[in-house]
Amino acid sequence: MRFFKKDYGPAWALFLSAIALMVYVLVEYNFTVFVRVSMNGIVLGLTYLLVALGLALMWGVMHLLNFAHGQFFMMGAFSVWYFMVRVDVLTKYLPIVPAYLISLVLAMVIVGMMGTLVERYLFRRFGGDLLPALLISLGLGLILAQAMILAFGLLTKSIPTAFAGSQRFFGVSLTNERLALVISALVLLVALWWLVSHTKFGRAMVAIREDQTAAALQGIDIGKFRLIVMFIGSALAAVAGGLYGPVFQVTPEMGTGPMATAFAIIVLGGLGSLPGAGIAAFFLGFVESFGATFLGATIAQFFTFAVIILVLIFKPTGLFGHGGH
Amino acid sequence: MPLLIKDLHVRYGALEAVQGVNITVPDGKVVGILGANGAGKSSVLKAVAGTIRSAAGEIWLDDKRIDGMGPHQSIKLGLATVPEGRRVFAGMTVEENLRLGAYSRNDKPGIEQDLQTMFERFPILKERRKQHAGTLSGGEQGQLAIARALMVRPRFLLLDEPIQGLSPVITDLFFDIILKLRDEGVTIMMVEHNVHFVLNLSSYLYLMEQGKVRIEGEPKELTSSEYVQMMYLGR
Amino acid sequence: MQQIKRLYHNNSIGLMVVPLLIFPIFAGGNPYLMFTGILALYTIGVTLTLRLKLSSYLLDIAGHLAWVGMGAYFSSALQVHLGWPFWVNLIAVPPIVGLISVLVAMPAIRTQGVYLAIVAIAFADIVVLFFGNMFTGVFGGHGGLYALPGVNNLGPISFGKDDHVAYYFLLVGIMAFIVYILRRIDRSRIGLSFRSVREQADLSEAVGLNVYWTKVLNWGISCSLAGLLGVFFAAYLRAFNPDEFSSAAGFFLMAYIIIGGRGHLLGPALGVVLFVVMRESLRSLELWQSLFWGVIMIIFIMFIPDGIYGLIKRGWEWGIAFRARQAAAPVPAPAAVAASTTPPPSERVGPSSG
Repeated sequence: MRFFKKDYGPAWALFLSAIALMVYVLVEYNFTVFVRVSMNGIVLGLTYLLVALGLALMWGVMHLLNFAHGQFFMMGAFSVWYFMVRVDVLTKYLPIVPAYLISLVLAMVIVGMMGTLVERYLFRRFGGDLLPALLISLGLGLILAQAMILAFGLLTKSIPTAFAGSQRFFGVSLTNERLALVISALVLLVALWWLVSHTKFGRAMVAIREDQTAAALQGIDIGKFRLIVMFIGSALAAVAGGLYGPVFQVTPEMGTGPMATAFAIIVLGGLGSLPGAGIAAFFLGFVESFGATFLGATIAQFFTFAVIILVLIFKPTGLFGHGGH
Repeated sequence: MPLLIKDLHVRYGALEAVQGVNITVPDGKVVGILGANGAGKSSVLKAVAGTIRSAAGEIWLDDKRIDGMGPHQSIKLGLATVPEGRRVFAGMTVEENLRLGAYSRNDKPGIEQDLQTMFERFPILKERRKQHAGTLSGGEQGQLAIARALMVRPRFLLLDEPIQGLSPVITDLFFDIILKLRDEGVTIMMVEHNVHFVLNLSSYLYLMEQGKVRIEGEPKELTSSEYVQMMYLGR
Repeated sequence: MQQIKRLYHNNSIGLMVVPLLIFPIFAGGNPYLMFTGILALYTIGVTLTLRLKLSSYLLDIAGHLAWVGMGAYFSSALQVHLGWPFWVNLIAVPPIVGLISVLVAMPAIRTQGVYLAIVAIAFADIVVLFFGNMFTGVFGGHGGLYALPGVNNLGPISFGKDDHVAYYFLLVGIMAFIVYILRRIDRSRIGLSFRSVREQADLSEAVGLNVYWTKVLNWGISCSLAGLLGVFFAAYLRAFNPDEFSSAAGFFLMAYIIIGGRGHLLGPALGVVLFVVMRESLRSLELWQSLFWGVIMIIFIMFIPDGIYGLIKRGWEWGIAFRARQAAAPVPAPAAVAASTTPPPSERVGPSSG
């Protein structure tokens, strides 16, 4: 592999500065604090990554910046809440773990279907035209957030945890629900990685990203493909929301923050690049966790934006982006 | 299998690029469409391939009407396209490009076999098998584009300016490749503005000007036409 | 996008002068109408300064309000803490904003397209964070600034809380200045270099133009003019918070432009008016408002991409055509059609006589 290519300088710089930050924490504080910060970073990074990968897929295949993605995330959490709390069929007849898992799958299906409908009836007619689709997604975001308030009220909801208790790692306790988040996210990431790198689907995706017309001439049904990508992307956002929901809170605005971070991630990683998104997600997750612990959330946000601007200055197309638009 | 184009119209906004064109490509023949840039010849080909929509008219492949079909549908009927400018996937290796050519097929052993056939037919591609397609020369990319289209096992092949920007040596190579394909029974429709190349390959020719077929006929008829001599052969 | 470029070449600005001057006569007594008018005019101003930008990507708008905000914050801080009168700020603040924008642009302008827009958005959010969290004694923190002194009275002209007409004409003056600057730029060598960089950056480089500095200069001018509007914004509203300059607010502005119509200077103003009308008529249904706005946005983008302005224009043209048809109706064969289909008389006479 060409890991040492000059192009990847900023990626290395970012990686090294993350290491430096970790070493600083280790030296300045103690191992326990270090583990806690890293664990939080991993939890946040994975959540953001799930959201960001959907965005990266949508950009890669259909040149879409979906500003309703945060609301898809929120809808995922709301769906899980709906099936777990509002409708008590699942929890009444099933133990809580399968009930939660079924709710997660239902959330993925519902939000995924919603994504395909949005693509079919709103985005498709604009083809690769960025701006109208972007504005439509903004309008859609407004509608979805407001619809949730109208349907379920303004009060903050919470999803009962399916995984009570906690584990100890290196003297730091990690709640089981966070552990479940990490494991589920990893499973999904491996599945997605396999889909992209080992299947005909993945090959077709790369082809579309490179040259849509030429890809169509190889027999790839672009329209169907867009629907599938929209389904996968939306479902990923939904499952991220469903995993995030029990750990944090469920509100109609809960998607805004993760979406902003997810956009930062895909830009930082290079639009459309999945490995780039991975590295950027962990970096930003770690920065947020580190910042929230030692510097306060605002400074951490400053730092995040500053990193984005710095990276783009040295590599105008993001860490692993090529070409640009 | 014959291809029939009846009264085809193609519009780009207010511009009518193709205005009622009739073309017949008989089984097992090479038919060329000649014309200057902007004559509408590429639009005809794209309409057949399905990458643009026709505004009016009919396109028949055998007894199936294919206008309005996307490329992913017509490719299942055995129609493959080598697009203008070759358009190989620069970030993928040669082999990946070829495998993508077989996207519409599901017979694994057949695909592997065809891959070997392509490597035999185009030895340079075997040599460059693991190389990114973007690093190939223009001629090599051209061969890759044709090989990629052949991975469909087409009965009908559309070539859009196959030798554009290639050196004379490569042009001769392509000449042989196309002849060989014809002998194997592949029906070919080719769009090209290199007159000599098309004249020597095709059994029937259409000359397009401003969206219409101006002259059609066998190569002999065309070369004896005063108009063609004056405008295209420079005699 | 094409229409944006030709903006200050057409006569639309000239046509606007009369309605602009007449508006207060009708609306002067109604503070609410005046407020809407000023807001609409201010939005046009922001759009104008944005349209100067070479990266004519509408997405940039999400980051553009940050510069307005900078002007608003600096001028308020100078006025409150150093006692600088508004009129001094009006002259002093835009260059400061311009200078900062140049410093930001120098590295940022290396990126392009979506990436540049996102850098601009990230910067806007940094600005919002800065004003919301830093120097809270000066900038007021998340709650923003309030009870600001407004514009200092100018001789006999008083700029009190209810002197909307005075503020209105002040804004008209500022707009006139901006338009004047834009026209001057357009006719100068700088304007020429801006246009050539916008059309063909590579080619301009080849002719010896320094594309990089052209872009930086362009960015600086656009942002300092935005800062100028910010100075007015702060003095007129007398209270604001950092969120009004966030990227989210920028997206709302973008919606005004789209819904009002991108093809014309008046477009954004029409969008603002529609928004205000909607907000007022749905006052009792407050929870439904943003849902409604979302639906309106989608409907416009899907079915009326040229916005309200386009709608009016098409209606107007249709009206003219309709009246022409009405006028032509008594004549059996419409004169216009007859002339185009029948050959000229001289030719027709030829064969029949021969």
